[in-house]
Amino acid sequence: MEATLAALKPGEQGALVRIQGENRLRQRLTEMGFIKGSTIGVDSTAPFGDPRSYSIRGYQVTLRNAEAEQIIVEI
Amino acid sequence: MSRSKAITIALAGNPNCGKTTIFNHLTGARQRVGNFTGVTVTRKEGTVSHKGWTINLIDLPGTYSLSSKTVEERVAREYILDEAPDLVVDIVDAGNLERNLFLTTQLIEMDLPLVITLNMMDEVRSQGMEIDTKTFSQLLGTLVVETVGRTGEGREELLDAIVQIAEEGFHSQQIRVPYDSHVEEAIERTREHIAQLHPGQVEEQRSRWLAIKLLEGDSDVLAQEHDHRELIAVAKSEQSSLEESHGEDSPTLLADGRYGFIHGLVQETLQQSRPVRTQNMTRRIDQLLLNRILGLPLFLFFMWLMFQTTFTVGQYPMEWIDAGVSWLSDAVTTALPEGMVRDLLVDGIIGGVGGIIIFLPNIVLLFLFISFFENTGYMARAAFLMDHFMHGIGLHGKAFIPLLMGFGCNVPAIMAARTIESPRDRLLTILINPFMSCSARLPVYVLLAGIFFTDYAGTVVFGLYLTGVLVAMGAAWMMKKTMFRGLSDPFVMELPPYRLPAARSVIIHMWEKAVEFLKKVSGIILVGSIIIWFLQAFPQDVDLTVDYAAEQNRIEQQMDTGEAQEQALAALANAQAAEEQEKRYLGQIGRTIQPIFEPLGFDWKGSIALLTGFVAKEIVVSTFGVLYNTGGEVDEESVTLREAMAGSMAPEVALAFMVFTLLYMPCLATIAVIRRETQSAGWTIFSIAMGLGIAWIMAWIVVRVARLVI
Ligand SMILES: Nc1nc2c(ncn2[C@@H]2O[C@H](COP(=O)(O)OP(=O)(O)OP(=O)(O)O)[C@@H](O)[C@H]2O)c(=O)[nH]1
Ligand SMILES: [Mg+2]
Repeated sequence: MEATLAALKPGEQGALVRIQGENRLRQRLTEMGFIKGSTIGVDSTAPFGDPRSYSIRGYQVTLRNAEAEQIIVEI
Repeated sequence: MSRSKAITIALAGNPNCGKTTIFNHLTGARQRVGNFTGVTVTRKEGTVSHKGWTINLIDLPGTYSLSSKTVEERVAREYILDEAPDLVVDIVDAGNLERNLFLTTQLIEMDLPLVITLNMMDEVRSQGMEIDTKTFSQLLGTLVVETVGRTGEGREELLDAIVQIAEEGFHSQQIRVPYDSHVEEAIERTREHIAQLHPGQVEEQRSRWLAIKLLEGDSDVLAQEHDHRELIAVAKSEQSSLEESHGEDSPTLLADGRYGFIHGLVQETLQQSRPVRTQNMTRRIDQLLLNRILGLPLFLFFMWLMFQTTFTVGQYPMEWIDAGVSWLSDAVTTALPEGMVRDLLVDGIIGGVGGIIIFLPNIVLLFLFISFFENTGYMARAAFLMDHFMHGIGLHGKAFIPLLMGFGCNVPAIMAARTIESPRDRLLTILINPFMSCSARLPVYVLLAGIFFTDYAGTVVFGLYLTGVLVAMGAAWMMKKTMFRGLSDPFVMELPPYRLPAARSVIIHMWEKAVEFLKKVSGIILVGSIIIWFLQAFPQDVDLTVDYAAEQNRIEQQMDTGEAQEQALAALANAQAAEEQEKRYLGQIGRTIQPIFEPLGFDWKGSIALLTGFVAKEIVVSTFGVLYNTGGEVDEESVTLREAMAGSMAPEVALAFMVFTLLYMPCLATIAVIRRETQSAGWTIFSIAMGLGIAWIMAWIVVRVARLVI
């Protein structure tokens, strides 16, 4: 089933399908290893629920929910 | 044939992979390191000699790829592309191999002579992992060295590898990062076109690199080749047909290829050599520090603790130094005959420099805390926690890092804004940075809060810092609403694993801050104090409104000797000293500008102190040191500045004075760096004017509100 990364709950993970939206975000994420098939898991949530941190390829990275909504994963 | 034995080498790698740590180990330099991305924002140079070679090393800012767009990443890209170092040492965080090797694939494609350094091997080993360096080296066609930046392990091997390549004459590796067959075909067609354009001039690897960049749509390479319309047209059509057939944009397609290659490489070389019970420390600490409910209160608590400790623990050594300064002052007073020289020494130099030097312990402590934030990995977490608020003012969390660094010094903090991609956000971050209270303002608070708010001085100091943050945010919000509309950057920020700060480097860092402070004191502050002393000592003869000598005679004759007479004489002498001071140059200047500060309740001495503080904020305290030392010439015993200043202002005025000091224009060095980073005299003037305006308004409000409360 496909879902956006923002819809995942802490502790869940999914495999990246595609990144939508503007080029700038996609380019930055791509060079940081957000490639089709990469596993992304949800880690911490900031106060007020946004942003959240994710782990991918063994490191952690932050994303706002609006950005995570652009990322489609398979769960 | 004698060949020059000097070579130039660039250190490149992802952010936070340990480049500067290794640079420092190689060259003996002490450049700033920290456990967050974007510590180094300009290139730094150093040299080291090894086996008869002089090696010039360039430490570059970290970058995830050679197509990245922030200012500091461009520094790295442009250096590598345009200045063509003899060799690139690609530093790889071995605990984070896949992502780090992405840049490596780009460097390989550029066909530069390369040495790969697998850094952070200690962390890899502690996870029970092992890297088969030999296979790794064969698969990439480069020399590979394992290092631990922390301890300097692998330093010799790295230098050996560099020299080995230099002696062999810098030929590059022959491997190729393979792509999907369609992509390869497109690369090949574009490459042939390039080869036709420059027959025999461009080597195969180089033309392959150009072809890849054109297919990627790299704007810089496109601009560079814009004369070759036909080539660009070919590349564009190849690019769009690729994108059409694969349903993805070309940078993604190329990245897929690179990561595919990397994945294979890592599979073959990285092994779990012994089982460890994975206890992920970072995750556990984050469960507490990034807790949804506790995260923010804990952050505020750490801030409060920092200022409270700076104040209370700093108090003890401060009193010792203070006692030393008083002793020196007394000793000089007794040793020298009365006169100008003694006054200059005691009131000007010891008063001015001694007034500020006692704050050394506070400043060192403050930097200890900041260095802890920077080196543990908490910095990026603070940015994460604060993102919500930063979002509210139209910035993003990453912009909080330069703000936090501003607590130390605004100059590097403003430069740290280079990590922000959008030019408008970066400008905004620069403009609000001076509101973050730097360490130079701390002495003013410690002095005044210590006198006027003795019992809760630490909290007052914390409150001032908080005010700075709130004003910075308020100003950003207003500017964003009015002048800086537009989109923010995406908030993509790496959270590094927690690391224990290396004790040695923390101590060196504090030592350096102490030396820096002492240099400032013995330089600009000493000169400033002497100038201030002269301005308040001349002209010697001033017209006085009262004939003080006659008045003194009158008191001595009319009153009986005793306490009452002594008091009257003392009061008279004080009045005389005060009037003389007011009529000398400094007093004249002070009275000229004082009307501006009248509504805030500052007297001419305060006004002068603020004026001189334009140069550097520490001079505010030195000015008080000189002025209050000479003001009370009645008693021969020297008194500490604290005692001399007690009662000189109402508490609410003192509070307003601290608020003004907090908010008004930063020091000259900060102005210079704002000018340089914004490249605009207009914004620099705007920044100064905004600071002065906000400082005045806030101080006006504070003095009125506080009068009701206190
Ligand atoms: N455990 C461990 N930590 C290291 C090693 N090398 C560096 N560090 C730590 O990693 C962090 C980053 O080091 P820096 O040298 O500032 O990294 P950098 O690559 O210069 O970072 P930027 O300038 O931001 O690109 C610091 O906290 C170092 O103490 C190592 O080999 N092992
Ligand atoms: Mg660095």
